[in-house]
Amino acid sequence: MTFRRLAFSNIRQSWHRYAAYFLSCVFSVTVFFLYSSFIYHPDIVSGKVSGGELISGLIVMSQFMIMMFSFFFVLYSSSAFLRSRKKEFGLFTLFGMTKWQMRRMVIYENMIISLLAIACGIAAGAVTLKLFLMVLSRLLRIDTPLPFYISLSSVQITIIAYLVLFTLITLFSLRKVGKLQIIQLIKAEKQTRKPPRFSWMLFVASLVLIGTGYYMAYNTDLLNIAANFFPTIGLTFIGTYFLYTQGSTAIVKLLSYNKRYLYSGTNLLNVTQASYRIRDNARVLYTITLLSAVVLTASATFFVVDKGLQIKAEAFNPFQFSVLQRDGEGRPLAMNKVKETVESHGHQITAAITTPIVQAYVKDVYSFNKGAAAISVSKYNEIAANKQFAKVKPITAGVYWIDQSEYIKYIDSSYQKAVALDKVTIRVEGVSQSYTAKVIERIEQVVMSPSYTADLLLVVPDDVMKQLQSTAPVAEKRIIYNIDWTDGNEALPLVQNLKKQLAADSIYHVSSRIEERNEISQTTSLIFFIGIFISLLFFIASGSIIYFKLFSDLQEDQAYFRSLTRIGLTLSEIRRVVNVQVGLVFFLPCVVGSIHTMFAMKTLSNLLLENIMGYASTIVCAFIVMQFIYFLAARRTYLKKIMQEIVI
Amino acid sequence: MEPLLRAEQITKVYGTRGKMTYTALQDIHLQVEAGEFVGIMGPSGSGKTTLLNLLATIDKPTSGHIFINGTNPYKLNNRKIAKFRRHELGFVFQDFNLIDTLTIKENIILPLALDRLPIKEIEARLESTVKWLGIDHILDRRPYEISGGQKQRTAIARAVIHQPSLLLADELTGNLDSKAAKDVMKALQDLNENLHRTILIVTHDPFAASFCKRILFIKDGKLFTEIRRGTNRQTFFQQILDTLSLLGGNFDDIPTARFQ
Repeated sequence: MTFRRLAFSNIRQSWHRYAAYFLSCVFSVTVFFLYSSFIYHPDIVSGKVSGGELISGLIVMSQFMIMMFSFFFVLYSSSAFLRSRKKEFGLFTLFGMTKWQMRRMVIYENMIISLLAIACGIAAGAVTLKLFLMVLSRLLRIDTPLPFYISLSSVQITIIAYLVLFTLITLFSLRKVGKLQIIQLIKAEKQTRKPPRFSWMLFVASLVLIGTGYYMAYNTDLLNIAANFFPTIGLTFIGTYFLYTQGSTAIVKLLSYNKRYLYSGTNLLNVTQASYRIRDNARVLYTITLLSAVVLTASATFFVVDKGLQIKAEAFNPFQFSVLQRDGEGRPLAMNKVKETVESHGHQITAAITTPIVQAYVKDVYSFNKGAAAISVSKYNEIAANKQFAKVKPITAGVYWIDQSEYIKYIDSSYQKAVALDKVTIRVEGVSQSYTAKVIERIEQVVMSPSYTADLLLVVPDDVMKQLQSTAPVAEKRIIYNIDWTDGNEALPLVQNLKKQLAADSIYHVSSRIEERNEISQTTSLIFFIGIFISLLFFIASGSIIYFKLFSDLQEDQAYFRSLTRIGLTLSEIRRVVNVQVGLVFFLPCVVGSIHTMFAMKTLSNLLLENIMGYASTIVCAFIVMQFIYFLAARRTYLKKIMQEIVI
Repeated sequence: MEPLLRAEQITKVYGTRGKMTYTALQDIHLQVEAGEFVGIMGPSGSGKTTLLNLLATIDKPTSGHIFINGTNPYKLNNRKIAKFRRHELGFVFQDFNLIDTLTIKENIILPLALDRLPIKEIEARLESTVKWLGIDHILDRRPYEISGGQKQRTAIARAVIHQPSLLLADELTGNLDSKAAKDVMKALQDLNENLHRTILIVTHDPFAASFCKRILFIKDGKLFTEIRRGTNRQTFFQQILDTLSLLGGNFDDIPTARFQ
């Protein structure tokens, strides 16, 4: 048998061990290749696509992160593989294989796996490239999607990057092989499992640390974030470490007082085995927990920001379409024509409110001029009726103070009280006359797009409004056409059509909710989309480490289950035991990481003053579902391997 | 009266899928009455471990019938056969098969815990069993902290605590030094004589076999002869050696008989 054959059969024999690792490498290559294909796409290189450069920059950064992550992942995995094969190497040495020969074998093995991974990764990338470009084109809002194109440069750079990476790792492995001592190699398997070292103090400390971290995260807001940020993370991280090293033993000790539970069915096996498994793998589980928490938090934050900006676009554009007319009498938009157009696009008009306003200003407590817009009480109520917020009582004197500002909720309520005016004097530019009135009520409500009016809206009696309109110069008088229709999310063509109809001779501004939302979400959606691959890569890689951990003790586990069958454990009982064992290593880091994330999201909620827990849960649930699929696959393989040994 | 164990025309052929077949056992008849202490001896490759595996319901015979307490375990489904093993049989192995993550006490009570017996019952049975085996002072230790002899006595305790009708042992002294082997065999003898348990062991060690009341010799998959013990163990030991030399097998090789 030649060396190459030996290396090849080594891999084939223990394929189940390499499977998850291989899959992670392939995915990493695939993502890297997809990113490169975008950067080297002729349409992007030639600068045809607006925003292409920004995205390219973003992608290069992501590629760098992928390479870094892949490096550490592959380094960890290959040294873990070497460790699990100590006995095998010991035997080879015993049979007279020299260190150089063993190194050659390792080189062959690594070469086979890395070349295969690069080839499969690029192939998988080529298959999914079209889809990737389509999604990116949609997010970039390019009318004709980027055509499918595999550039030679992207293939080259992917191959070179990963060859360098794998070669570096192989060199590391070779150094390790050189250091091995034969006696250590042969003894490697015989180490018995020591019982976990344990102290109640550390266990309680871990709970206290995590509890304090959670408490701080829950209560962190804009005011104390600077002071709380690092202590919160530090406490949680340290607490989690001790939770893994001590918690498992603590639970076993606590349960051992409850003999009725422990001595019933397979509980005895599950509990003790779980405790050992957690302690043996504490460091790996800990690392994966923290990485899960970090990656989940990052993904959820992007998701929340993306969604948050869209909500904001909605909140500050109460109407689907508004036109602001300044000066002059001519109407930019014929309302009956609008109705026709809207209906021809298959939408129904739900509101068409023509709202005259007068630009004004008031003096605040510091005697600064503060811009405001006056609106009549009847118009205010008309909008209120349509948008279903609280109407105000019609008045003949006084004024309602409507705050449309987005920052109002960040401002301390005592400060708000201090600057509140009981009385305002409304002045209009170029008019000497002013109108002084008592403030009847202060209301926080977005009525019309604040960019057209002002953050401050003053609702005045109808006859006062008439008076203001008659005295105000043309430059201060405006009319806002607020139009609303059904199925707003699909209305982009309608908006474009309406814009064409606007009369060219009048002066106006147009804004539409859908366009504003698209503009805002374009960047964040792109970041989210590009980032999601990094999260996925991390997820697959961490799963593969768990998978590897599961299979590294396979022989021991087979012996364990063989003993159990001889005692008379039924197959269904064995399945139950396997479920607990495999489920534990998959879900423990996932669940702990998710809880950490939820508390981080609570902090974000506090910072944004917006309840985002729903969005955070979406991300966390998606993560748990993926983990569950991974778990099912791993359990299937593991169970098959176990059953091979014990089936009669 | 129906014997406790009755095996009729047991044949086991390996490698039926390939062209090469190997007959490990051929036409074996075997009866064990309740309260007997039977040994099975034979040279390496004679099929003694295969026979034990068949009796232990871990392997299926190619043809023939086995009845334990009147039940044919091979007629049972997977679930029932496991339950049958759990209730009717006790096992002791050369490599102990103790579970590292459990304490000695937990190892012993495992079969009872699996059957969800009440705690009081478990504790009571545990106490009487461990006292008799002399391992009551190591209950809270773990398997790697105790000696080989203690491990094997723990395994015996686990094999008998659920009061099986038949105790099966495979080369149980194979990993022990002679002092520990003697202690373990004495414990089995005690179990048989005072508690009237039925025991069947497979061994290649004439010393261990000399504790049995009856020994069956097999060679090349067939029953060769059978000898019974009188009152003196020393004489019986000599008798065993004589039979073995008659059998002509190779008994010096490393014990390879293990469950696979």
